[in-house]
Amino acid sequence: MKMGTMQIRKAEAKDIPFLIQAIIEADKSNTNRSSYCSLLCISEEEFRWGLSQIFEEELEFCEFGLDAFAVIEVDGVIAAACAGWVEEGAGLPSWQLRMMAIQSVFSSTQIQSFIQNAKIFHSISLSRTKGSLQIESVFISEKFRGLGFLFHLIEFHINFAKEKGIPFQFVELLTYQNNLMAEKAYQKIGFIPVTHSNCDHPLVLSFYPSSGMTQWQKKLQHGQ
Amino acid sequence: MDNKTQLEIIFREVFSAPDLHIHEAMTASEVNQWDSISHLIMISKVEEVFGIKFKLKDLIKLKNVGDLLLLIEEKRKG
Amino acid sequence: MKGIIYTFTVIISLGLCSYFWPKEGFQYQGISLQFIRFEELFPQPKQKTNKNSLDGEKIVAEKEKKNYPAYEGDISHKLIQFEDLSEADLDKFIDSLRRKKRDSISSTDFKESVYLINPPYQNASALDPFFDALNEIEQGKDQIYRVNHYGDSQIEGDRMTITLRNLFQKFFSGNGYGFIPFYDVTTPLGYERKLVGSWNHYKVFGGQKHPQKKYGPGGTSFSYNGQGNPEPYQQIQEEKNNPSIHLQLQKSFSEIGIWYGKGKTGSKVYIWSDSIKIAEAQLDDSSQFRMIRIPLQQAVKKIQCYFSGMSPVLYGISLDPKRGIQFDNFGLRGHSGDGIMTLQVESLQLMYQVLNTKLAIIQFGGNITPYLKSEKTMAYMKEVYKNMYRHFKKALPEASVLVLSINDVSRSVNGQYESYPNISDFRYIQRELAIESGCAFFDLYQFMGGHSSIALWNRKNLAAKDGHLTEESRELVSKELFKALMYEYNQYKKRISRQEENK
Repeated sequence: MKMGTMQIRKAEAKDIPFLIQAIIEADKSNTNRSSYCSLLCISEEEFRWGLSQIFEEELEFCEFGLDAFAVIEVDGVIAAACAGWVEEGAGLPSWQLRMMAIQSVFSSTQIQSFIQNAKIFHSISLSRTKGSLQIESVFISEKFRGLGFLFHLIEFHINFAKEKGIPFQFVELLTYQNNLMAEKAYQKIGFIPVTHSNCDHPLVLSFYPSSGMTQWQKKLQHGQ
Repeated sequence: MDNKTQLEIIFREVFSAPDLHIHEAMTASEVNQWDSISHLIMISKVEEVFGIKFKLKDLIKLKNVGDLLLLIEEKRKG
Repeated sequence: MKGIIYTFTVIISLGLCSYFWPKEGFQYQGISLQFIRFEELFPQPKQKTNKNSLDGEKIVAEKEKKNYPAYEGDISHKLIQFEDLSEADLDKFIDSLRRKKRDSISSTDFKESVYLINPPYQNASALDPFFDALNEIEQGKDQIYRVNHYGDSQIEGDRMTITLRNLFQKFFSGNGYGFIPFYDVTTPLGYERKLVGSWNHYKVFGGQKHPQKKYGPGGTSFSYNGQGNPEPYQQIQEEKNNPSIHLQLQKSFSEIGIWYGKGKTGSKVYIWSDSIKIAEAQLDDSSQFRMIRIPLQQAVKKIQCYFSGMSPVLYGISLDPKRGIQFDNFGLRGHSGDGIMTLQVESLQLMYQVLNTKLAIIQFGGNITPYLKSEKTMAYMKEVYKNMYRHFKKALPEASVLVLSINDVSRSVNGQYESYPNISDFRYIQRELAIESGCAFFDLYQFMGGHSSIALWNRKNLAAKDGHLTEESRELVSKELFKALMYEYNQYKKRISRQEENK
């Protein structure tokens, strides 16, 4: 594919709709179901609205905030996005920030739904390692896939964290086990699987894209 | 009943830890059952019992139980 | 030539006499003067009798049978802008409901409710089709008549429906639980359920969507992954991944219903109760909606349904009486009702015919309260609800629809709980739309006290601030609705009596 100017940069406010799309698409992992929507018992539209409210709060150190995102722009059009942060970089784990964000925006009924549903599926989630550089909500628009954008985005986050002087041990990310294309892509750029989860609830596939997740890690190369 | 005692009761119920004693410096890493779901339950319960509603900007400043107690006090006064 | 004209004139004259001669003839001094009638001169060819014609006669006969005196129910005294009760009066009202909680209901309790509107509709009343069904039950008709109760988390898991079912079945006969989905987020009332295997749960709202939009009348459907295993029982029990549903029950019932569609050749269900096989059935009918009814030979407290072969589209199971009235709970958390419009009118109509649904209760609105912020969003919601009520009414041309209004809901505003704005106005919109669409209407909002009433129900431990009723208040509300409906039913019966007397 012939490309014009490509630019990698930190995300800006004007990118928020694309970032929200990235969060939702990563959550859906190439299926038609969003775990957030299923757990909260809401429509995708309602979830999109909730995320836009959350983004106004300017969270850091998790994917629910502008600060965590880097984007690739091609000829002035956003082509890809990816969130990155050092886990517990400000003292709180990202799961806590994520839950606080959800709690502040959605109604008590929706929160109760989330609690009731998530209790059933808690065995699917994996803990993120404190002090690791987390990569999350990777989304590349279809026509820009296969161009190495994933590698560029992760490199950007590595360099950005170093420039900021935030130490981290290795890069870490989570994938759903149905996403074989993503697994291949991460393996190609040096990630190895370190642990898996599995949920055997009869209806896990109605809530999540897959019945399990995989945690991947990549040690920094010499000179990185 | 003071706020700390009330909060301790909530923690014991939510985290299924009948012998738990809370202290100001306590964080999630110290409590076995304190994960994302029980955290949601805990915050919901605190809001319900104390009759308050937290905003996100309040919650993200919380580093430990001591911060939570201060926030509860502030919300109840307001 | 003159002769021909003369003959022709006579024939015409005689023909005219025959045509216009009165049937009873002319009477003169006790003598009746008759003339051969036109029809005898020129008899009409006999109409070929065919099935349609006979059906047409039958339809006419049925219509004449149901030709009650035109319903002139005056509802104008109910179409008012209510004044909310004072907190003191609402407090007394709630206490009075609570005092009556333990009393059993008798016909003397059936009084007119200003909150229940049964408008005139097509020369009858909106609730007449439902009342016809109740009347047929009282006359001993050997059939199950169903009520489908639609709603959100307020009724999910058989909440409210269970009270209505118990009351109506006590007065009109019936048993069982009605519709049981294979899975629900909430813990169901009155039974325990366990699903085994790997399943998909499709919903018109708030979850996975069916790729071909195949949903049951409640807006949900299921399928299992894999193929299960056929008998024997011992082998099935040990196989953890055999798609099956296991129920532990408290109430008695007479029949098991398997609701499914798009069956596949070789698909089967085996129904066991512990180690005794009760029945098995093919699930190979490829039509969109089928309900297999399996009568029980004896009472059981446990049921296991094992599935084998390729999965059809499964809607659920029902536990029903042999005859009488049955209530099905179609609660869907988070739903505002518009998702039901995903199902085509023709599809819904077919399902309702198979089920013999005679009343749909529609109880939505709680989930739109955050969006009733402006005139624009109110107008948008009005359009959605207009289309929804009409959708139901089109799908139920020979049944009744009863709309229950939104109830008061509050949320935290700067640390204090306040009711959402515009709920009262939207309740009036629901009333207007319901009547316009030929539906009956129950003003749940006003019944509960109107503006900000949820705060008091909450203080009395009868509701959450977000509008969800407790078990106790659900029962209180359902009982009052039942009494109001029974008053209207008694009025209907008086109409029938008058018709019978006038014959």
